Amino acid sequence: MLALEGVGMRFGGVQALAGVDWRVDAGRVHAVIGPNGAGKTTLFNVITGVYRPTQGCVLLDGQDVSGLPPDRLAARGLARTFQNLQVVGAMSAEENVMLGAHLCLSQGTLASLLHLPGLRRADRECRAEALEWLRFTGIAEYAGRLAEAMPYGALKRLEIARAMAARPRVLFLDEPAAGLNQSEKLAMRELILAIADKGITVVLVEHDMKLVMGVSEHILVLDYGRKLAEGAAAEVRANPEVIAAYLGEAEAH
Amino acid sequence: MARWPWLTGFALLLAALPWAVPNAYLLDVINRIGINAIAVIGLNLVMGYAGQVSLGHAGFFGIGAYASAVLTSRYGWPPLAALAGGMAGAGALAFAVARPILRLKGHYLAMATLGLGIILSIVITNEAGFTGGPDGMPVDALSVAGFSPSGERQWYFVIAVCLWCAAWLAGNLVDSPMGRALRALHGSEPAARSVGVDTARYKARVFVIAAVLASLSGSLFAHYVGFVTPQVASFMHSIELVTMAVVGGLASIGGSVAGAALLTVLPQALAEFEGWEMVAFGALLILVMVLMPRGLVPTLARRFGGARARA
Repeated sequence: MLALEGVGMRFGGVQALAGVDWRVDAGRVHAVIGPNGAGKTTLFNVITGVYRPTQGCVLLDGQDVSGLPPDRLAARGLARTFQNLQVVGAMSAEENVMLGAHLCLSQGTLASLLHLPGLRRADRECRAEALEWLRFTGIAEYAGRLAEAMPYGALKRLEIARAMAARPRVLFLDEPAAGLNQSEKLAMRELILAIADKGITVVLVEHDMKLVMGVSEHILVLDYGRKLAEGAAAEVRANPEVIAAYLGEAEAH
Repeated sequence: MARWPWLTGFALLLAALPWAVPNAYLLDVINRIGINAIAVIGLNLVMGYAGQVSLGHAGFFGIGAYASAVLTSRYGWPPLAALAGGMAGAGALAFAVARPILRLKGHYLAMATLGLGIILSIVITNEAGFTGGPDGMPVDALSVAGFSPSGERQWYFVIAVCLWCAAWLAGNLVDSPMGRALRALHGSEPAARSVGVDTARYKARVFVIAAVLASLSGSLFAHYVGFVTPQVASFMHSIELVTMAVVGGLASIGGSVAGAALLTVLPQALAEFEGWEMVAFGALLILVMVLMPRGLVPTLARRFGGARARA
């Protein structure tokens, strides 16, 4: 459903991505891995519309969507989380998730000012649904708490709940396990699998190899902005080039 | 919903106030507080909730004030039509400038809105043929279907109704999907965009709403005082409105009213310092901001029961 064709991204003199071809098939868990600075987050930002690629294009359902702003891509079914948390601290967990359903709700100015009955009803349903997503991600206990008063691990899940409320077709998770302890990582693994079970295509960037190998069916390896390898988890793990990039030349031989 | 208790309380307070106030002078001060508070509520939607600075808000106040003055006296419009015309004009102008201006962030946005306010103030001063120039011009009495409020007490009720409605509408907006989108602009623009919020569109909308409220407030002021000068659209007045919002509490509707009250009352209360009143005024403002960086209402709400922090 999603395809990259020769995607390149240059920031001044730095070639962050070069000639990346990749296909994301519907209904699977995909992972993007690579050493620090390999261009993983840049790739996410290109796909989700934060950057317009300087070369190549991003195709969604066969249509060129490169350079569309994030809000337009969200309307086409892409949702994401952020490596450095992006939650609205002054809103409760529940409201943050309700924000995720933004595109599903009527946004008329007059209706908003007057709180017309239709809007009130839709908002009530949205609130109920938000609670469902908080439960699904295992943080229902924080529903009424301001996000700024929530612990880090719960905020990671809050971002996922918000993204799920947008009813995405593809969910991009930028380092979902970063900063989590061992048991939280295990729970995150369960959550990612549960999302995939709902038929949502998941794409994640992650450093934790155990998590990546445990959940993904397909892995893309980047190094210095180029595609180093791709394929099923076992294939990629056995690839000598990948081992070299991760562990250094000496270990590979 | 959660805001009905305080909206009801506010209505009761507004209804009881004129009976508790001993003289016309105090009621006059209260009326001025109410008029300012309407503009500050709008400004607070832009600054406190959506997180966009506006240093030219008095320009929209000026549009309302002069629409009511000029359209009634020179073109014979009924006052209510002039008032509505001012609101429409202010809204249209805000809409036209919103997209180019609100793309800017932080200091740059502050500069751009400052420029807008100054332009409006200069236009009002220079178009002396219509506006009377720096000397200002008298304004006809407000009359609605034969009723014309006269005296502080009658005016009080007109202003109180408008103020309550502004607070009600603003409270509705904040607690709607659109309000969440606006608050998300402030809290995290990347997050807002990632869930489909068209940020430019929402900034423009809230800017228009604030401009319309400022224009209403300006029209009420013009009719109430009976005379307008370019001072109403001046940079100083813009700063005054911003200060009211900040001191009262950003992202707080109750704070807008409290801020308007404090900054309207203080200069009068400090008058006995003779010549030093502005110094005392400044010192008090510094003290409030140091002790209550979130502003009056949010700080107090937090201290006396966290549940009401959102009021």
